[in-house]
Amino acid sequence: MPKFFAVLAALCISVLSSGALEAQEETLKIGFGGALQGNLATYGRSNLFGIEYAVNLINAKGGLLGKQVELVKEDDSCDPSLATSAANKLKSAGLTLILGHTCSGATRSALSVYANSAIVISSSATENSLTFDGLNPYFFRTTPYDSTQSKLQTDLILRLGSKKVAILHDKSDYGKSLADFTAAYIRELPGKPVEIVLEEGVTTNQVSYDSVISAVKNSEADTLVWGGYYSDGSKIAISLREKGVTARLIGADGLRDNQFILLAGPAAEGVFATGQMDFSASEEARAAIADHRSRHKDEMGTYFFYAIAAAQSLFAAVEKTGNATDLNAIKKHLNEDTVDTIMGPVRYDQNGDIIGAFFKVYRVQNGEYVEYGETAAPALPEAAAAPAP
Amino acid sequence: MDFFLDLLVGGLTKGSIYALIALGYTMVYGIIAVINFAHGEIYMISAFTALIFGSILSSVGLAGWGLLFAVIAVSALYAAMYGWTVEKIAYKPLRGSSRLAPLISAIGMSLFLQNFVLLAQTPNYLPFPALVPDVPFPAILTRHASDTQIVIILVTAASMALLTLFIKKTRMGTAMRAVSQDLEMARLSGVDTDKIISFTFITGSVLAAVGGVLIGCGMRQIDFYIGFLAGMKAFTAAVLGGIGSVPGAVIGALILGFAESFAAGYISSSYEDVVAFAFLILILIFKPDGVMGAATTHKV
Repeated sequence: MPKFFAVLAALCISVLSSGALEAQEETLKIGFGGALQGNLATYGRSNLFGIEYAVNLINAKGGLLGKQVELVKEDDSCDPSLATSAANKLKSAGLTLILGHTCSGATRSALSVYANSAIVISSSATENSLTFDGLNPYFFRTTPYDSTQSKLQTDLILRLGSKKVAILHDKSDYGKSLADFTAAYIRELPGKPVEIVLEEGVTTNQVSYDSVISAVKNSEADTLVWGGYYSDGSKIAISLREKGVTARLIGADGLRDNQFILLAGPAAEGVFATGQMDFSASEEARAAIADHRSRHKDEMGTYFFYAIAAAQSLFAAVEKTGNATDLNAIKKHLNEDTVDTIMGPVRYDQNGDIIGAFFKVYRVQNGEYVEYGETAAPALPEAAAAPAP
Repeated sequence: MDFFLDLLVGGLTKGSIYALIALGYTMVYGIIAVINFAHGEIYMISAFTALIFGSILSSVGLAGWGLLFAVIAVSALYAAMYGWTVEKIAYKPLRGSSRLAPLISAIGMSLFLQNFVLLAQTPNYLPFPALVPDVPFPAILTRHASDTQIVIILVTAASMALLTLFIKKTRMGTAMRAVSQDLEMARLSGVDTDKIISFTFITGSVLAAVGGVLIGCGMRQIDFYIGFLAGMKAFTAAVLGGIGSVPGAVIGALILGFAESFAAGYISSSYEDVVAFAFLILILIFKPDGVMGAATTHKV
């Protein structure tokens, strides 16, 4: 009996795929590579939810280049070796437009398979070198790369005119890499306008942070960069104030949490933190969320909006080019044309990274984080765009 | 020199907190040779009690020193009850069993209390009110120490003085010393050893409560996990000073506090734990029973 069902299932599948073959002339195939199974499947599915939403949206409007868009999905489970075979399948199917992959490692090995035979846009691979090493001219991404916030912090440090910076981190993966990136950016500034006077890891959950704050005071730093979360960040903010240290505190998204303000109280006032913009407020985003909720029980996940924007920018560039195979023309449009997406107007820089203010600087004012206004400030020179910490 | 004094005060503050907790470990060990791992949780629970009663008492109009001491008193009372109960539930039934049994029981109690607070209160950090009043301390003090640091050091010193008086001068203190020297002999001489053991737990818990309130004032935030790390460090301090010895615990705590503070200041805060524990190893190599520990002969 099970054999019967297996045969039946095989028949159904062959009927379905032959149906797809017949319909080949009318659809435009776009590949999706990412984690649909395994322990990182939530990330992959979050990407897929966004891409499917964007595909449905464009199909409802009549499709792309006059054809309905069809998504060809391959699972890579975020595993670099599975990503190689997933990419091989998509490549041998002749696809020139790929949305994916999910994880940085899998994306790297998939890119070596595509070998510049397709436009690839990822909405969740964040590792710096993917775009910075210049080996994949047709690779783009909508997520900010790992060191985005450090770059923003360095910009801010320049803008505030700091001369001496102390950098502390909580020894976590998150905090340390953030601190290392910021330090690397500062060191690579041409003319060395900023000096790093202290760079240390801090043991978390201590009974007192007085000693390390004394060290900050002794270093005469005018700015303290904190790579870590709000719990220890708030203790450091309080200690700074109690010890009468005037150095300004700059954190990242680990600090840009209302819990920080609650815990640090008055000591939070004037603290800077970089953080992600909230995309979910726009009307377009609310429609997307409502659509997602009506179709799926699962959460839409972190990468939903990045994935929608990736698909939207790709569709726009392909439509302008007029075909799906002229990679250089599509790349030109991705780089040069600003497209309205769910994340707002976006385009890509020469590396393939998205341009747009998706991380912003916030500052605590009267007990809440408010966006810190742009002032006439020297922007970070392009030369300092790719540090190797 | 300024930097040195800053670090000195920082180390003294840290050491004071460690000392208040370490005393609880060392006193209990001195009497029944059990490492009370639940002690760090008593300290954590007193911090939560202080937070709750701090907001209640300040809403009925208490402020300043009155508020601080009322909060310390209430937390101490709660901690005493917890300490007493922990002893009755986790250790008394195991008296006379193998040495390992109360140790496992202690770890179980510690996990239980942590999770109890996690479930009954919150898994999040809570802001702790500034209970230390603004005091016009002389400028010579405030140059290197914050108000909170001065209060922590003063209150700790006062608690130590009271404890020493209590152990040296009162009948109860004499009985405690007798029990720690020889439990059987003390019982034969008519000392109610069960009562003394309970009382030792209560005394240790009261000191931990003082530490809990002070650290809340210093850190300005608490969560259910603060007892673990502080308890570990205080236990280390007790071993460093010679577990079982009351002055040893204080000295061990101060050594640990200074070592951490100076390591953070002059080497790097990345290495402060490394330096502190390297100290521990060095001292234990040369004085295996700790700085003030009595050299004991072990039966083979």
